[in-house]
Amino acid sequence: MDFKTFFVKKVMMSFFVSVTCICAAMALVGMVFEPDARFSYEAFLSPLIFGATASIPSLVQYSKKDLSLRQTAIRNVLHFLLLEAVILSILYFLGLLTSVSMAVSLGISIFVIDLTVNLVMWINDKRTAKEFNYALKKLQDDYGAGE
Amino acid sequence: MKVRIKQISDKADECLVIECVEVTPDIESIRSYALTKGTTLTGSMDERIYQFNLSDVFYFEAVDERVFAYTKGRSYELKIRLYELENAYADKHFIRCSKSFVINLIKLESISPALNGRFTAHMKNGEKIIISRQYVPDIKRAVMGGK
Repeated sequence: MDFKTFFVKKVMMSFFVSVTCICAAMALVGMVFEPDARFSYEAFLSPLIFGATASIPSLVQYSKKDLSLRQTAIRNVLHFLLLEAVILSILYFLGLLTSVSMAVSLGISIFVIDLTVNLVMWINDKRTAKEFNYALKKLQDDYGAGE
Repeated sequence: MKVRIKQISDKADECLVIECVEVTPDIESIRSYALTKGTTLTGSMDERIYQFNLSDVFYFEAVDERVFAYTKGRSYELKIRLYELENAYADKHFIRCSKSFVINLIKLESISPALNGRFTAHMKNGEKIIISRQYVPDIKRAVMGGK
């Protein structure tokens, strides 16, 4: 996959999904905890900024060559660490990170979300593999190659 | 279906004729099987030239500028490009699974999920080959149809 395709497919997709999720989360959390709060137009920029910064670490997963399983696993870990560092740094510089316990709980939250996303993807792929293997056996039986 | 076998003297005149009312998937499968069985490839190994059946090939691999065919316990170097093999034998259950590999679906044991939306192809000779994410939809279509 060339860099342009990777950028459009992976990074842009990550950006749009992040922006949508951040908007939904802000709306839900705001309605529950501060239903009377009012914002200026600048508030529209925060999902875009956080979406963009959360998507930048995806660039480490780009490679012109096909990566081995080990290389992919290493890059996934690197992606996770960068994601933690970028998000926590932005929150710190914006003055939103006020204590160590808050940083730790946010860090754990990011880890749980990242793990959940990967787990859901793996379960979905497992189901696809099961359906594929069933169809493959049928194809091979029809062909007369069942060994 | 009735099956008649007529013996002839000249190998060059060998021919399989299928008489049918309609070309069904079963007929197509028989046609594909016959075509694969009749196809031989020429490759070199240890500076000697060999002929081998296409149906014996587990997969083709491109290494740098060279292309190899792998059969049970043997590998032959071919004087043909990987994309030419892919195009020539697409109707004989050979399909591209990554930049460097074209696999024989009839010699595929199963697939299992790998990381980042990729899959591992477990070949019947025990070898494992990575299926790149970009080729997964094509392989699924080839085996599962439109599902």
